[in-house]
Amino acid sequence: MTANMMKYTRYILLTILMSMGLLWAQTEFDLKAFADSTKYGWQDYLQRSDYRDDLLARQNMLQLYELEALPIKENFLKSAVIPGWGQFSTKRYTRATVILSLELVSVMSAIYFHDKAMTNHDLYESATQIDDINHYYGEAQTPYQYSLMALGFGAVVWAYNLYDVIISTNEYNEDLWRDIVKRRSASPLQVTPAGLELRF
Amino acid sequence: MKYLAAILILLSLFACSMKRNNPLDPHSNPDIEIPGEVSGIIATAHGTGSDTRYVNLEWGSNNPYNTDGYYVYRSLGYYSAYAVVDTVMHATGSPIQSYVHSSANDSSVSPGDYWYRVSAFKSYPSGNLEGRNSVPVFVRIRN
Repeated sequence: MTANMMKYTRYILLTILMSMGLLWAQTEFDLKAFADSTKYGWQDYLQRSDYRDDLLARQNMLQLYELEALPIKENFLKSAVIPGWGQFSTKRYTRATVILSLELVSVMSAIYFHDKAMTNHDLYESATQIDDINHYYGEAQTPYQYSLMALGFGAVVWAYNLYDVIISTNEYNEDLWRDIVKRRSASPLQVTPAGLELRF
Repeated sequence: MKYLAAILILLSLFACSMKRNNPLDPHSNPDIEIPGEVSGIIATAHGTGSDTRYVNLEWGSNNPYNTDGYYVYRSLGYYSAYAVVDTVMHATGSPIQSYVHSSANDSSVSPGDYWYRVSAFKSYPSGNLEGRNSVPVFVRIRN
């Protein structure tokens, strides 16, 4: 009798322990709450699915943007090497042409006037007559200053070109994002949070 | 950006000038003396027919402090190119310097119209510094 009672007592205790374990498990992991599709504001699982599709579509847009967007560092380097090159990459052709032309004109002018100044300076160095010495020095000095001015102007254009390429690249990337969004919205079949939408 | 441009242009205009590295340039070498301009030139042509023709040139002496000698030039026109005929060393102590350009030494002294001018020079280790040219004087050598 005592042995049977002991056996039953063990069964009862085991059953109580298992029940408590289940109860605790219920407290730890709320399956109902987990499966509740309304907790993020969705009305049902269909709406949740639409949201997920929308998220995927946005991820796709972001990937497209990352593929097509121009890195500022790269464009900056391009414009540093050849002024206007970065602007050409951002399809700002007028700006790029103006910057490149101004740079070329100033550099060519600087070279032309420097060459003229050096020719007259050589004559000045070999002159032995006082009038020739003064004349050739004056003839060398004027184009030399023009050459420095042209070089200074070229440096200003170059610096502005570097500033402009940052602005242009940002504008290009902003336009690109708007274009991707526009392309997506122009598509007849849309996945929206409200569901599939077909436009005619 | 505007300030940067202004600074660059001002720097270009005022801060930078070419080197005056000619050793005869008095602006960069205070020891260099500029020879004075020759003045008071009188040119007289002599000789006709088969005689030896010559041109006698006389001018006032320069200060020997800045003059070691003179270059004598000749040209066919007032504004034409002048060529050096000869070099004359400064005669110390004389108020008048002179030179004779004779057909006996130079066959180019022949009948015609000529312009002569004279400039002084001072000798330095790096070469002769020539002063300003005188006003040209006219000479006619007759047949």
